[in-house]
Amino acid sequence: MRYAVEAVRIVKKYVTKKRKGFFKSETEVVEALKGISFKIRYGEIVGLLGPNGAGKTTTIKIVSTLLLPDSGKVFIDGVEAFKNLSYVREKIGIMLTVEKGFFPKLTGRENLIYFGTLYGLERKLLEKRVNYLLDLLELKELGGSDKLYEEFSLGMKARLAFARALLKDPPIILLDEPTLGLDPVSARKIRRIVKDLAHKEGKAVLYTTHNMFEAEIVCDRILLINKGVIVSEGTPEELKNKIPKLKVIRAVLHGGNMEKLSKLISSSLNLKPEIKIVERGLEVKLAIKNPEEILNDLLKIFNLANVDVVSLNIEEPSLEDVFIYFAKGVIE
Amino acid sequence: MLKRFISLVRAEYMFVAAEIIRRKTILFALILWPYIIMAFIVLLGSSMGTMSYFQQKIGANPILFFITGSFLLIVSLIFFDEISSRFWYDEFIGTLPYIMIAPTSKTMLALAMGFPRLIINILVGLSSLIPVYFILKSFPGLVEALIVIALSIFSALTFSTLAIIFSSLVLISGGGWRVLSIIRPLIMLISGVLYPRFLLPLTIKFFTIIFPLANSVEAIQLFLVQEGLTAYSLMLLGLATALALLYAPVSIRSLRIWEHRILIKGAKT
Repeated sequence: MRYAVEAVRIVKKYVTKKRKGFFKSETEVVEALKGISFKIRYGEIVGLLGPNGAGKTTTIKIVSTLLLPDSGKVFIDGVEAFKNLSYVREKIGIMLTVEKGFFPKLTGRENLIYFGTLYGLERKLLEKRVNYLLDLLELKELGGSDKLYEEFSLGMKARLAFARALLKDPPIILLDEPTLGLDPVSARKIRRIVKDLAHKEGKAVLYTTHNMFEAEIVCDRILLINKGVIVSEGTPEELKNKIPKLKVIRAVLHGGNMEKLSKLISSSLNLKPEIKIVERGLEVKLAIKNPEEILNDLLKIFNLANVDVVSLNIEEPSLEDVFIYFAKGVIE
Repeated sequence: MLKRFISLVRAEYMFVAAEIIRRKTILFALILWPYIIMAFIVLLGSSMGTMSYFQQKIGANPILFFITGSFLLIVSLIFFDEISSRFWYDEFIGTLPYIMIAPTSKTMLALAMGFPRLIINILVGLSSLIPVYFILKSFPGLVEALIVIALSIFSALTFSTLAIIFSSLVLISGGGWRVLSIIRPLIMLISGVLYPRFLLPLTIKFFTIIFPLANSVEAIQLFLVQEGLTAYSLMLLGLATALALLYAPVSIRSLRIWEHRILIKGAKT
């Protein structure tokens, strides 16, 4: 099977010099990536999820052939990237930062024409493509088509950066935190287009983010990265199932006695509830692996204790719990 | 390949024109620059001797000599200035990664970067040189001005390959404007634009022989003094062309070295 992107044991170290007096300097080596490997299929959105400094941008720069790894290989569309730069660069569309990366004195349209020319698009095709993208990202509507880039809002800048990534209609799209700092409307717009591009047009997307919610709703598969290591991977559901965290039953009750309720639950279900007084009454929290199995008994206990159930939820572990679990695993 | 190059020049022209037209200070500076330089040199020169003394010593009208010199200076350094400062500017505003990732030869792009400013400066030349030549020499002055402009373009083109090498040095050093401001005066000195070659010390004079710009500048200066192209001037122009071709492969290699350094370091975003 030919993968859109295949990274094999990538290592990247950054060497920085620190001045120590006028003549002396000390070199510091930071290992940004410690031999990561992953694959992306066509039609799939793979999220690279990690905190700041985890190695997300370094990964995306290496995959896009903007940064040479110290060791390891990258294959794009089955071809070794750093040995076939021109071929690989034809296949990739990239969005690195939202807030800059365009010429301030050119309009949105002119900027796209400039980069499209640089990417080798024929004039007529380029104009057609630019018009299509300005429409798709609603930049014409927002006035970004003929407005100077220096007058753009952050949302418009992000839309333009995304449009540039799609200029060549590339089969592989690399997006580095594409919705960072954006208003909800612009962020939602970009997420929807990304999903359409992958699921309807079969494009491969590598999507870095540190936003758990975004990773969960956009990505088909997630790679959790921390300190240059992929600590776990899978679909959001698979990742949640990988951690031993229990589900939580949270009930808000009206009336009743806190101590009596606690004793009843402890004796009948052999569980230690966490009960506290909240605005609407009592809040009962129970951590358990299979909450569905005790739900009926629990309702009977509430009835026995003479309390009214205001609300009852079963909470599953979030992607955030998953991330914290794996991140701590690496630290410890 | 030519079609691709032309489309790159068009894209670069759009960028340069927007920068000039949408920044009024740059537009005014561009139009006034040859006059400012000429006025500065003539005023400085007047404090050292009269205009007739200059004419007697050099054999050319000082106003014509220096307005031509200042125009030549701007035109001939275009490729060096544009390439060194443009890639640096791209790094500053964050466009460099998108330029690096483009499946376009960076040497072709570097050459395309110089052309729009060259075209604009030719227009400036037409507006600054032609009136002065016409006032001082009447109709024959018009033809002379056009020949000077053509020779200046030729001189810029023959310097383009070495300019790419110098620009690569500036870019590889990572020093930006600081390195640029050291190399630029050296180029001015060796080129003979402000300080005629025959007045230079022998050791520096030797270096100027392998410097295409110095040969074409001397040919232009001889044209002004002798009011025509001699066999020696043509030989100098031929030498400049040969040197430009000789430096071409080195210029491609030097830009590749810079590109490789960016790949190791990673283009700033």
